This record gives sequence, structure tokens and C-alpha cells, in this order.
Amino acid sequence: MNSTPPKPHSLPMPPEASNSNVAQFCRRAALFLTLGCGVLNLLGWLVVHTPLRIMLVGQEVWTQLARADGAAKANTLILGDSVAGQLYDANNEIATGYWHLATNQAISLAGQELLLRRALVHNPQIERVVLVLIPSAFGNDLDQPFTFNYFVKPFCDPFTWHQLSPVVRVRLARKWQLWAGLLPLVKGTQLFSEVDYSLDPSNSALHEEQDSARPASPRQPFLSAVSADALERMASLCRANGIRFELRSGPLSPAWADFESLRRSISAAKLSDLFSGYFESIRVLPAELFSDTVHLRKDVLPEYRNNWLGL
Amino acid sequence: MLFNSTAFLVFFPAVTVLYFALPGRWRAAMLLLASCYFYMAFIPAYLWILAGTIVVDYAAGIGLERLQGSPRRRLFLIASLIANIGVLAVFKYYNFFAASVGDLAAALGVNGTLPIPRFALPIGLSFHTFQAMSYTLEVYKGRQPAERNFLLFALYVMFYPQLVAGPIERPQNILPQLHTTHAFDARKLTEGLDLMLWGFFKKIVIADRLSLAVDHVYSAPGTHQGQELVFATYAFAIQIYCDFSGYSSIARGAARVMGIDLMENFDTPYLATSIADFWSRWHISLSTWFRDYLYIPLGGNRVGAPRRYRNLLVVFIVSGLWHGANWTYLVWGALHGFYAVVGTRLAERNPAHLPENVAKNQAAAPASRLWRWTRRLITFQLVAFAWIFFRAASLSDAWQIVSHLTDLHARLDVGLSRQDVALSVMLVLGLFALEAGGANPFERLRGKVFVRWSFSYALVFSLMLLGKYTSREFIYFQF
Repeated sequence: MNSTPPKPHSLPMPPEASNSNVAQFCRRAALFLTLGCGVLNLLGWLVVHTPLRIMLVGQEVWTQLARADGAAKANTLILGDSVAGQLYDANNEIATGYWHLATNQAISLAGQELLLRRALVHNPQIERVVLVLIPSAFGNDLDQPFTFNYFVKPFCDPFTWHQLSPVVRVRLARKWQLWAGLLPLVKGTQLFSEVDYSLDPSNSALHEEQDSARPASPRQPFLSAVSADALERMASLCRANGIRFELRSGPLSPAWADFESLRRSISAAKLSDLFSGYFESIRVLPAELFSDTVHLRKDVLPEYRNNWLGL
Repeated sequence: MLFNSTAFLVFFPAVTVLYFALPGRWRAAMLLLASCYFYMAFIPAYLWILAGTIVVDYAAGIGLERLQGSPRRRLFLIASLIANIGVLAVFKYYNFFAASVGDLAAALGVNGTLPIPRFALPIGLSFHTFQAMSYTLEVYKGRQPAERNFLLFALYVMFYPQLVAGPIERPQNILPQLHTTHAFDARKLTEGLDLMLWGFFKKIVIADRLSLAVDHVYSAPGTHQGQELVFATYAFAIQIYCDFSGYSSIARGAARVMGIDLMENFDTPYLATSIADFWSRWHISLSTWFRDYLYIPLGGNRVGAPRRYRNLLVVFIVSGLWHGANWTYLVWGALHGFYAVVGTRLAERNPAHLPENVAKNQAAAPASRLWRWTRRLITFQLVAFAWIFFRAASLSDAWQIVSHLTDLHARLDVGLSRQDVALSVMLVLGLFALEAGGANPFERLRGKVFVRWSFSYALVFSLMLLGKYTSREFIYFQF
């Protein structure tokens, strides 16, 4: 029925690879990789310095950083977290006459300070700075899931490393993958975007050393060492430039309405003067107005947008 | 182990370097060990199932060769087929069968159910069992000598680049290559890496991006309107192409780096001018498997029209069930069978409709170019429509989608921002432009070092900037 199977294959053996063949390939590969490092870093740099930055994780931070380098007409600058960003949208400045540079609490107060410094370089007309943060934002100690993407990538590079406060430098020096965040290729792409500083093993040692005021419950807000340091530096910068510096809160959900621990840590840091008027500005709104216990629902935003601060 | 995982970034270069560093006689053993490690990264225990079928098929191959002319020979073939199809039946089809019996009993008001065990489907089961079966079938037909080297036979079934999602190779192509000691070849290595890069781009930048929209809509089709269902269906057509052809490119590239050539599995299928043409370009290794081992044994084209149509329907329904044990796959296969029968009937009435004649007409008359593109468009619509049944979680979901496709409104909630939708559309247009001249754009750049390197850098940067890294499995792994 079936024919006899053919004999097993006896294929000719190919010539062995010569050393010169391998060496030539290695030379070409080395050139390709070296050139590639340069080209890819250049492309990364281009992304963060062009509108392509909207494709990055934390694009609102990159966008606001680019805007901070420009000149504005307003005399009042609003910085803040994402709740502030909901109320004072960057595309809606005409409605208020203020300069809206609110970003995200993940940039920490150290990031807010650097943003303020950059904004003031080309904007000597600024007379008033309002920092709008809900109480929980003061607990950012550069130890959050998005710290790498929202603070390290946009705000840290080898050329401006010395401008960071000593407190921040100590914090970052112990963090993993910090070096990666300094490369243009990493800044301008999604590389390492999964780095989560809340899992960093150095956190617990730093908390023990510097954050004695840290409450046991993560629901209770407090003033972290990084926030206290950055607030002092922002206040000092504003004083030196004759600018009024104010702290205000965005709307708060009842889930976060216990902020006594924040009061205690502010007293311990001897920064009560900076917070004058802050606690009075806190308004707790009904829980059903929030989409995720922090941000207002889109449909209720028009009621509060642009006039929340009553400036 | 997923190709798009960090572990593979370490595994692949380590295995490649070891492969070329070791003397020829050790390479097969090292590749087999590496393939076991690759497979065990999914569910280690299932390695034993694979090992069992390898032993059975190895012994069956030798038995088939030794008993030339003996009537007992057929027993070896049957033993091999039972072992392979048995594993498929137990792990892939039993639960579906038991659930269907339960549903039928409930519908008839009869009290009777079969036990439904809970175990995971071994990764790539249908791929490696079909590859193993092609070996015993080829030995049985006398077209392939039995492999005496157990190590090489095991490697034929388990070769890591194509172990879990093909291409489903034939022994005539792979075994001779495994017998050969491949010297380091810079050209093949570069071509392999280029293929892998193109595959990663299609998978991580396009398929995984589109999957966000597809999953969003198909997970709750009842909450979406016509325009969203249409968008998600087209998106799935592109997603599954980029996902599977991306996998095939990575597999072929990883093999070619070591000097081993795997067969082409895709040839720009969405440029097909008919359903028959589509199946000669889509998952080629599976369609040729069904052609050689099912369609031709059933009578192929040698029988009369009614039997030929029946055979086509049978092949496509079996092909549907090959993909998964679900009524949705069965309907998908039957729909393609129906398309194929209608297409064959039309071509028989008017030979100008045959794919090869369409191509000739295109060359002869520019006016027929419009007709050719019209055929492409119609074929794509038919294929995209059938994908609804393939992707939907159930027949009722599929019907929900089909019955609301024309319910069009202005809203487009597909789980992506407008910016992401625009970017996805641009990426898909770019993909078609790059593949218009051939499935591997690197082939057109041979000898143009500057352009090829620039293209490579652009792809690498796209992977870094636009890639979706949420560790998504390849769609075809589940089959």
C-alpha cells in the first residue's frame, strides 16, 4: 500500500562560523547599539520638548511644565492637585483671569516647588500664588506608586540635580531605578513606567528617621518631611519676590474629612502660620458628588468650576 | 513564558548565545531543555502530558516504519491519533460536551448532568498535538522516514519558538534542519532579529492598544451602540491579525536567529480578493494542515459538487472547533464554510472570479483594479463580520452585536480617548502602508543599511513610547 520510506536525511554540513565573521558582526552590532543609544535618547528628548509629550504617563505634568516655561499675563498663579485641576482647568484661564498650573498630588510638594520656581523665572508680574491641595496631598513623601512617573521623570535630571533640596536628594538617593529616570530615553517613553516607589524597601527606614508624625492609618492625612521642607522653601521664595503665598483646599469627600492628624503634624513642624486660613477653606461636600471619593463627578463640576476659591 | 515578557528578554539571548557557544552535538539537548523551561513557565505539570504524547508518537513512528506492508501497521497510526486526539478531547472538549449535554437535558426537562472537572487548558495544546499528528501521518503515508533520535523528535514537537502558537510545522521542513549543525550566520541572525522586532511592534504597539477598545465593548455589548460595535469589530479584525501574525513573526525570527527556517504563516490576508484567497494567506500552516489531512482524504476536489461543498463545510466547522470548544467558534467556522461554498459556486460559474484570474485581469486592464479592490473590500467585510462570532463571549452576545450594528449614533465610547482613537487609526494605516509590498517590510530594505537601521530605531522607539505593557497573552495561546 505504502511505498518504502526514503532514507534518513544526510544533509551537507555548513562551514563553521569563522572568527572574523563573528568579530565583524560584533563590531557592527556595537556600532548599531551605540548609535541607537544616541538616536533613542535624542528622540526621547524630542518627545518631552514637543506636543508629543501628551503620549506620556502623567502627560498633564509635562504639559504644565512646558507651560510654566512660558510667559503669562495673569498676576495670580494657581498650583495644586488634580482636584484643583478639575476646578481650574488649564484650558479655561480666560474665565478666571488666573494662571492655572494645577497638576497632580503625585508630583509632591517638592514638584510644586520646582514648578513654582520655573514659573517665576519668566513671570515677574506674579503677585499671588495659591496652592490648592486637599489634606491628604500633604502626606506625599516621594513614596507613592506614581512618584517615579510624576516626579522623578519630569523634575529630575543630572543638570538640575543640585537644585533639589537636600531633603529630596536624601530621599531619592536611596530609591531604586533613580538613574533610569534621569535618561532622556526613559523620560520620553514608557520605559520603567511600572516602577512603584510605594514598594521601595528604603521607605520604612526613611519614615522611621524623618516622619515621626506619620499616623498609623493611611486615611489620616499628615505633613510629610518632604512636604514641610518644600512648603518652607516655597514660602521663602515668595517672600523674597514679594509674592503673597496662600494655601487652600479643594472640595473634600466625607471619607477624608478627618484631618486632625494633619493639624498635629503641622504644629509639630512649627508651620501653623503657613496654614492660616487653610482649614477654614475646607468644605466637605456630600459623598454622592464624588466619582471616586476624591474627584468631583463631571456633571457637578460646572457648579463649582472657576469660583471655588472665591478669590 | 510570554514573548512579550521581561523573562523572555533574558531567556532569548541566553539561549541564542549558548546555542552558538556549544558544540553541535550538545545543541539539541540544550534547546530541548530550554524549550521545557519555556513551556513550564506556564503550567509545569502539563509538561508530562506533552512528554506522554511525544513518547507515543515516537514509538508509533518507528512501529509504522518497521511494519511496512503489515495490516497491523494501521494500529500504530490509530494509537498515535487516539493519544493526541484523546488529550484534546479530555482537556479541550470534554467540558464543552458535558455542559452542552447538561443544557440539552435541562431543555428537555430531563434530570441528568455530567461531571465538569476544573482544570486549565494546557497552553498551545492544539498546536503541538497537530504538529505531532502531522509527523505520524507523514510517516504512515511514507513521505517521511521515522525519526530514530528521540531527542530530535522531542525537539521537533517542543521547539520553543513555535511550541505554543505555531506555525504548525511539517516534519519534512523541521527535522532535517534539526539534524544540521548551523554555523553562526550574521545575515540570518540579523534577519531573525528584524522579524522579531516587526512582530513585537505589531503585537505590543497595535494589537494590545486595540484590545483596550475591543475588550471594553465586547465585555458589555448591550451597553454600546452601533458605531461602537462596528469600531470594536474592525478593531478586533486588526487586533487578531497583529496579535497572531506578530507572534508568528517573533517565532520565525527567534528560529531564524539560530539558522532554522519556519514556514510563513501569514501573507497580507486582508488583501485577499476572496474567502478562498483569504485562507491561503491566513494561518497558512493550519489551513494547509486541514487541506492535506482532512479535505483531501474526504475527497478534495475530485468528487462531485455536492460532496465538495459538504467537505468544505466539514473542514471549516472542524477548523472552528479547533479554535475552541464553544458554539461561537462553531458558528464562526460554519460561516466561513458557507462563504467558501458560495465563493466556490460563483467561481465555478464564472472562472474570472478565481483568485488567479483576478490577479491576471489586474495586470491586463487597469480598469479591473477597481474591481479587485472592491473584491478585497467585500472579502474584508465578510471576514470582519465572522470575527464577531469568534470574539463574542457567547452566541447571545454575538446576536446582540449583529442586531445592533446599524443602530448608529454620534457617541463613540470605546474605552479610548479621542487622541488614542486617532493614534490607533494612524498606526493601522501605517501598518497597511508598510505591509502593502509584503508582510515583512525589512525584506524591502536589504542592502540599504542606513534606511534599515533608521527603520529599526523607529520601531524600537515606537515600542518604548506607544507600547502597551500590561502583560497581555497572545490570543492564540488559548487554542
